[in-house]
Amino acid sequence: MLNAMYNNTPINIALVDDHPMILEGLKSLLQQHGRFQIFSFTKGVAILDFIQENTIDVILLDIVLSDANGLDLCKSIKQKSPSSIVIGISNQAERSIIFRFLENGGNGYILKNADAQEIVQCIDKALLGELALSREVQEIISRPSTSTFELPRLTKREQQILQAIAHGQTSAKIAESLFISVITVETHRRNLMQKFKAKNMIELVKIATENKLL
Amino acid sequence: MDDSVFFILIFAIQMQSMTKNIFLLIVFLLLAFSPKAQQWIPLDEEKYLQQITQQIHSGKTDTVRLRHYLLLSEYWAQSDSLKSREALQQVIQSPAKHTLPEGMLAYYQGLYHAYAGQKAKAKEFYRHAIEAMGNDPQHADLLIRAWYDYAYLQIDEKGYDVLVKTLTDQCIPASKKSHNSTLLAYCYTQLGITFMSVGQFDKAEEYHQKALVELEKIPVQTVHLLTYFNLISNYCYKPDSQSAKIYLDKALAIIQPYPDSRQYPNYYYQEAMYYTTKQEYDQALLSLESGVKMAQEKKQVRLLHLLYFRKYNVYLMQQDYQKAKSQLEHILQEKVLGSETVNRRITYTQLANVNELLGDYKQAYHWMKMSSNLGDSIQQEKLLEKMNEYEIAYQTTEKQQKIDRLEQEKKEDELLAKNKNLRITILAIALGLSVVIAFLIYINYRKQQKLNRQINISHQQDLLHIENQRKYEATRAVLQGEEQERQRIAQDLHDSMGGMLANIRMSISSGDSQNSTDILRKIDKSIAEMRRVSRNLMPETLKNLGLETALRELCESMGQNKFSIQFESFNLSEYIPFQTQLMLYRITQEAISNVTRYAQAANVIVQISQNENLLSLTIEDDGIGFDPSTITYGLGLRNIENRVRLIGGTVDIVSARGQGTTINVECHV
Repeated sequence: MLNAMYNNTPINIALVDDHPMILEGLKSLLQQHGRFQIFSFTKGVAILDFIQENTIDVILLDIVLSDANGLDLCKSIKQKSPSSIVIGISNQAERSIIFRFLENGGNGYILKNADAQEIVQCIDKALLGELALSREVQEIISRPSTSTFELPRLTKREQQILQAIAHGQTSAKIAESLFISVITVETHRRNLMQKFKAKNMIELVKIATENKLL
Repeated sequence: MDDSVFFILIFAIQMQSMTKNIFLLIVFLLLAFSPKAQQWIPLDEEKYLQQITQQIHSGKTDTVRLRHYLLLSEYWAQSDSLKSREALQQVIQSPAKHTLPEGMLAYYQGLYHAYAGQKAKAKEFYRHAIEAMGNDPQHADLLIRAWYDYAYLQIDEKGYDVLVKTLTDQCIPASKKSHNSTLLAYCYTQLGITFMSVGQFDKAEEYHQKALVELEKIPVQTVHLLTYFNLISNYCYKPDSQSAKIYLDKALAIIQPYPDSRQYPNYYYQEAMYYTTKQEYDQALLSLESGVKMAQEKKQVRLLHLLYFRKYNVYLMQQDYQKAKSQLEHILQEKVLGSETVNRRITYTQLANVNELLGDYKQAYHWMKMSSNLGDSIQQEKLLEKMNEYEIAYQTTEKQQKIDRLEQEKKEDELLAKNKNLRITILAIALGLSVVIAFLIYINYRKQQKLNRQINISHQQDLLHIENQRKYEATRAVLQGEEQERQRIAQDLHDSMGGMLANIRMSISSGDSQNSTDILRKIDKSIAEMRRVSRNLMPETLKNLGLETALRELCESMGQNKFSIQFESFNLSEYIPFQTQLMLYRITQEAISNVTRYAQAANVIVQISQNENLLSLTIEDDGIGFDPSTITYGLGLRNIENRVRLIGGTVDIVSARGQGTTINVECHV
């Protein structure tokens, strides 16, 4: 790919989007640079067939397609043609989607509201073997996760059950006094142990006591 | 032997065998008409007479006195007809004679006339007595006696068959019926003597034995003596002197205490019979002399002549034909016995015999002719035949009775069998009925079961129907919710994007190129708005990355500055139906939306966990809460409930003022 870039040989780019207007927009945007040979597809199946026979340098892949989803498609493409660069281009701004795309072998992720310049920069970045993320994506990824609580909080039911456990009551007894099923109590016990990463009930009660949850 | 029936037993020596000393027993019967009163008079006559006399003088009632006059008449009937008649007259003249039972007087009148030899009158009275007493079972004894006496009087004209007939048809059955052993024994022995009279000694013995059986039941009295006498006669004729001796001794034992008894001459007669049979002729003559003497004293004329005959018999046996002949002639002269046709004929025949033996054939022929004039030997045969017929008839009657009894028993058995059959039938019917009832109960049970099943099915159908109804309502609610949502989205798009796009268009059309950054900013805003709306409509994350990721993202995106959302997920399976995932997502969305709008909470916990196939979702806040009893479900809670119902789960909403709200959802996957 580097050779191709320096040798001024055209770079084969495949555009995969089920929206013709987006396809046209992207095509006209990229054609302005002249060094790209552009193939556009509206179906996921079509690009998979195409890469069987042809060598594509960069694939710009939408996440939402009519016949497939980009996350899975990314994985398939990477399996069939590991040398191809796959960059997600989507309106999906969810962090989990972005992460999953990258996990599935994606080389980059661009939100569709990115500038034309930014898109080309990302393609170049990817061609250089770097992770190609648009500015907004970078922002999303770097945003701290809200779920990183130091100590998990307990629901009321969990508090009742934990208290009963601390008093040495059996699941059956707890179930009886709280008017719930034994299996529910068992579920709560297991959840509590997972919540506090305790290995057994004694440790669970100990942690809860230390943290003044009881 | 009865003094009233004169049997002349003659050991006639057959002409041809006379020299060989072979004796052939021939029985001639010499019948006199003499009523039967004497056997009813007790052996101790003196004492009996005293009792009667005493009762006549001091009897409590007229009836008693009159009755004893009658007994007195009976007592004297044989020996003193004047006294007998006097006693009868006392009764006849008494004004109280109507107090006597009907027929009683007539009977005793008959008795008197019979002894007096007035046969016709006697029969008339007897007939009257029988008619009068015929219907009164109280006087069965007297009636039986009257029958017998009446029949006895008829022998002369009608033959022995009358007597046999009366005894077998009337006297014996009546005696049996009234359980009078004395009378029954008397009747049996009289029947026996009748058979003896015609030479049927075995049959005679049979009846005497019957009499003996009856006699064992009662204390010793005159009838015993009479039966023994009869037995002695019978055994002598047979001849069986050993048996005769037994009864002779018995008779002596009875009569010895009463030397004055009128039965004593009779005893001597029997004794003489016995000696004759033993061929001890001197002894026999001695006995006969004693008997003759006593009979003369007691005026027992007929017995006296009987004794004479016996004497004749002994002379004949001794082959002293002259003495025998004079004895017979003496009997004829006395006329008492000779006045009776039958007896006279016997006497004539014997005279013929004895003259023949003496060689006086002229005399013998004379007497023979006299005899044949009197009798008809064929009648004799007829008589035998007739008697046997009656006897057979009696036996047949007895047999008939036996047959009747057996038939009765058979009938009873049949009845028993019938009863048994009836019982079995009833049992069978009962059994059948029980089976039918059991069957009916079974059918009823089956019907009931069927009905129960149908009720059950219908109940289940009802439940299903209710369930469907609920689902339908839930679906309707969801559809309604969707419609509302669409309206909201339409509103949203119109308000936000519509306005923004219109604004962008205006900016561009005005050719204000310097504002391009401003336009781009506006477009970016539009895109962000579009994303929000799009995600609300269908979160792409849920579709692609599953419930856990989608919920986590939802919690992150909805966690605002006002409150923080803690998301916990435990053991979520990857294989949860998308519909369930979507519903749980929507529920969470709705719940958090509620928290945002109403709860004023600081902290929210969203927790989802799975244990085997049980999914539980909890959304809990520490907000202001609400009072479930007052707040109606307008807070999207109804939407939550409907969605839960659609995935067949349960929802539990716990809230109280100031206590926050907890929504627990459980469903099976």
